[in-house]
Amino acid sequence: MDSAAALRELLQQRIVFLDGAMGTMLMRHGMPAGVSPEIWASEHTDALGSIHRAYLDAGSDIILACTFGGTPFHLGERCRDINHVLAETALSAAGGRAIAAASIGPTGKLIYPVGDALWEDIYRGFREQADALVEAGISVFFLETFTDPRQLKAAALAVRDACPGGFISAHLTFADNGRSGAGTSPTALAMLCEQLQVDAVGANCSTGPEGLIPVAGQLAAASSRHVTIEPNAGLPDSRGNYTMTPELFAGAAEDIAWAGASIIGGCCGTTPEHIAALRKTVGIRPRERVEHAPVPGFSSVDRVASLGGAMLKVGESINPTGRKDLKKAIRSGDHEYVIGAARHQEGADLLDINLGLERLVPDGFLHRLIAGLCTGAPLSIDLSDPELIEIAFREMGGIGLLNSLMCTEEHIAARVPVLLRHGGYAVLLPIGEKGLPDRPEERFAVLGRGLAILEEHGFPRHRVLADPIVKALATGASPGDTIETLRLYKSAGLLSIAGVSNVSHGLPGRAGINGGFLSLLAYQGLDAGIVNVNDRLTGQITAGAGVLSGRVDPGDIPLDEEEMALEENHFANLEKALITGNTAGAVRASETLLLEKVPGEDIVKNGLAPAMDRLGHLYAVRKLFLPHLIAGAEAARALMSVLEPHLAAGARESAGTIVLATVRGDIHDIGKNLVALFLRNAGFRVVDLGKDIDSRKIVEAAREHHADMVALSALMSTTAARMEEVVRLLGEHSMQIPVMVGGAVVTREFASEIGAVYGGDAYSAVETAAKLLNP
Amino acid sequence: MKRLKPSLPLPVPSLNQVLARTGCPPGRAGEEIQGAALEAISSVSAITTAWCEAVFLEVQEKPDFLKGVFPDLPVAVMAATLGEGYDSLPARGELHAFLADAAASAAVEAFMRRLQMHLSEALDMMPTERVAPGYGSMPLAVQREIIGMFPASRIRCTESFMLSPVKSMTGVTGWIQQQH
Repeated sequence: MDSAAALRELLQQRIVFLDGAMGTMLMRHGMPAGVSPEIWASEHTDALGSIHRAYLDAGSDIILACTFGGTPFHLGERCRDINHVLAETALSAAGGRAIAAASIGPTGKLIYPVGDALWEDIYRGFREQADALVEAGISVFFLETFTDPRQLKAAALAVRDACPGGFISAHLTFADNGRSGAGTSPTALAMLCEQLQVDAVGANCSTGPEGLIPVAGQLAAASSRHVTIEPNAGLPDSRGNYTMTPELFAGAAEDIAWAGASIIGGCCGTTPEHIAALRKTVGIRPRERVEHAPVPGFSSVDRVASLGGAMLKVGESINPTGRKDLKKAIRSGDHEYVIGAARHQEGADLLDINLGLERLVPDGFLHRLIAGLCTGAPLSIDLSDPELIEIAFREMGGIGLLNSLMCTEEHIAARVPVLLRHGGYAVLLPIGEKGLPDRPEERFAVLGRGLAILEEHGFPRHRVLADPIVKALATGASPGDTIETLRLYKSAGLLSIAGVSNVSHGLPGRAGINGGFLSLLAYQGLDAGIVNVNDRLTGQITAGAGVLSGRVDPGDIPLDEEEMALEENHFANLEKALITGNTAGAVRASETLLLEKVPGEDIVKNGLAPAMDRLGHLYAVRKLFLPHLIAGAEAARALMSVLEPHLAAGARESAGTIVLATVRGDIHDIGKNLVALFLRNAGFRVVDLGKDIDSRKIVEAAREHHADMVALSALMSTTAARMEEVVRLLGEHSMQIPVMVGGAVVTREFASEIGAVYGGDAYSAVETAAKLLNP
Repeated sequence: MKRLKPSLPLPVPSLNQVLARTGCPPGRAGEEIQGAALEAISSVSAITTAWCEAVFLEVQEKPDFLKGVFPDLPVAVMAATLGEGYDSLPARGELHAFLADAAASAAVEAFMRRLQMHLSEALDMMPTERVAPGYGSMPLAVQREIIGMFPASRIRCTESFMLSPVKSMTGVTGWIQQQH
C-alpha cells in the first residue's frame, strides 16, 4: 500500500500526528542564520535524519521532508536534485514505520495584481517541485503557510497533476482576527477546497494553538474534508523565541481535537517534546465527528456569497451590449476602466462579466480583468470560448459561476472540465439539440437531460443553477412560462438563476416592469437574479420577497442607508476609489477635480492624504487586508502620476531620502516593497536596495545617497540579528541617522533593544518616518 | 488494580487559554479584559487545595459499569479537583467572577491533562480519548460509582450527579502499548 492509501486508512481509525518545526531544529543542529534551510539540510543529511528520527520517537505518524522552500523560485536549477535528497532523507528516516510526506510552501512571489507574478508561472514552479518529489517516492503533500488562496490553488493543482492518487492537505495561515493575510476566511477556504481535489483542508503557523481552536471548528463545520491543524508554540517573544511549554501547547491542542481536527502537529517553535506531549494528551482516538454542512455558494479571495438565503443579486452592468464606453474599453484593453465599472455595482453579491464579441478581446485583457477582480464580490463568467473560460476560472480568487451551459453533450464536454478542475457552479439553460422549447414541462425535461450529461461527466447537480429563461415581453412571450418553469425547478430541489431584466427589453418604464417581475420570481424562490444592482428598488424587493417567502428573517433586512445614494462629491468619490483600489475611478475623480480648477496640492491634501489615512486605519483594524492595501497604494501611485505636473515645485520636493533593504540572509520582500510604495506615495525619496543585502552595502548606500534614514526589513528571527549589525556599523561610521526596522518577527521591544525605531506595518512606517524626518 | 496518587502541582492556565474559554478570541481582548483575566488567573493559581488521583484497572479487573468502556483495553479512572479553595475565593465583582470561573475551568482541565500525561509516563503506554460520565454512551449515573472509587477524596456527587467542589472532574481513558 502506498503512503497516501495508508494515511487515508489510518485517518479512518484515529487522529494522526504530524511532526513539529524544522527550522529551529536545524539551527539546534548547527545551521547558521540566514542560509537556505533546504540547501543546508541537503548538505547535512545526517543532522536532518536525526531530526526526523527525534520526531518519530516523539510519536509523529507523519514526518515532513524539509522541502517547504523547495520551488525553483527558491532553488533555481537545483530544485529537482535538492528535493530528491530531502525526500529520500525523510523516506529513509521513516523506514516504513511512519509516513514521509512533503511540505510545500509559497513561492515568495505574489500573483498579479498584488505582485507581478503570473498564475501559470507559479503553477509551473510548484509542478516542477511536485514532479521531483513524486520521482523520489513521495505521495503525501502538505501545502503549508499560504496566505493567498490563488497561490494555494496553483499548488494544489500542480501536485494533483503530478500525483493523481496522492494525499493533499491544503492550508492557509490565519491571523488572530480569523482571516488570512489576503483576507480569506476559514469558510471561504473550506468552500474552495470542497471543490478542489484535495483530501484535507487546514491551517498552520498563524497564532498559538488557542487562536486556531475556532478556525478548526469553522473548517470542520464547513467542510467534508479532513481538517489539519499545525499551530505555533504560542507567539514569539521580543527576540523571536517561542516559549510555550509542551504541556500548555498540548492542552490547547486537545481542544483542537475536540473541535474536529483529524491531523494535528506543530509549526514554528514546536519541538519533539511538544509532539510527545500532544500525543500523550490527545491520545489514540478517532477524530471527533462534527456535524458538517458545506456552505453552498460563491467566494472570492476575501468574500463569500452563500446560496439558500435571500436571492443573490448578480450585477449585470459589465455587458457591452448598448454600452459604447465598455465596448471601447474592452477593445482597447483598458481593464482598469472595466474593473472600475464592475466595482461601481456596490450592492452586487456576484458580478457578471460579459465581454461581448469574444474574438475581439485583446490578449492578456481577460487575465488582468479577472485577476483585478479577485477580491470583492465573487464572479459570474458570462463567456463561451472554453479557452477564455479557463483563463477566467484560473485567475479568480475562489469559487465562481459559469454562465452558461446548454444541454448538449458537445457544449458541456467542451466546458465542464474547467469547473471540475478549478471548482465552480454552472448555469444550465434548458436549450437542447432542438433549441429552446416553449412549454415549461418541455424545458424541464430538456434540463433533466442536461443534468444527466453533467453527472456523466462527474459534475454534481448541486452545483447547477437552472435557468428558466426570461424572454422579452415585447416579443409576445409570457412571463407565466418562466414562473411555471421556475416552480418546476424548485419542486425538483434545483438551484435557480434568471436574467430578470430581459423581460422589459424594448419597453418603456423598464424599472417598474423589472421590479414587478423580480418580486414574483424572488417569491417563488429564485436563488440568484441577474439584475441592475444600482437600482435601489432591486435591493428592497429582494429583501422584501425574501421575508415574504420565509427565506429571510425580518431582522436580517439591511438598513436602507443614505450612503447607498450615489455620491456627487468628487473628493468623496476620490477617497472611495482609493480605498477600494479603483485606479480608473481615482484617476477619473482627480481629473474632474483638476478640470474644476482645484489645485493639485489641495487634491493631495484633501483627497489623497485622508484616503491613505483611512486605508491605513481600516488595515490596522483588519477591516481590509494586504491585497486591498496594495490595490489602494497602486491607485494612489497612479493618482500621483496624474497630479505630478500640477504640483508646485515646492510640493514636489522630497520629504527625505530613505535607504531601504531586507537584511542579509532574508529573501522576503513583500512587506519591504509595500513600505517602499507607501513611503514614495507620501513624498519620500526611496532608495530600495532589494533583499538579502549585506550590512556594509546598506551603510555604503546610506552614505552615497546622503540618506536621512535607513529602513530595514526581516521576516525571520534568524535574520533579525543583522539589523543590530547595521545599527552598529552606522555608529562606527559616525552616521547619526535613524534606523527604522520592521517585519514579521520584529517587535517594538526588539527595536528599542538594538537602538532602532519600530516601523510596524507599512502605514505606520510612513507615520513614523514623517515624525522622525519632518517633526 | 493500581492506585496512583501523584503529587502534581496545579498548572497555571495561560491568558489565551482563559480568554478562549470565555468565547473571546485571544486576539480581540482589550487591555481591561486582559488585566482582569490575569488577576483571575493569579487568584486561581494561589489555590492550595487541588488534589488528583487515578485507579488503573486491567481488563479483567473492570467493575460492571466499566466493562463496556474501551472493552478490550485496560483503563484508568481519574479524578481531579481544585478543592474548596475555588469555592471560597472572595467576591470581587462580576467580571472577576466570570473570568475566575473560566480560569478555574481551564486549570482543572489542565490538571486532569497533567495527570493523564503523568500516567502515560508512569505506565509507558498511550492513552485513548478521555470519556466521562454524561459523555457519549457513558451514562451520567455512573458518576456516583466513579466517585466511590476515590474514598479518600473530598469530592462529593449530588443527587443530580453534579460534583462538589464545583471545579472537579472525572474521566476514563483506555491504555494502549507504545508502538508505531
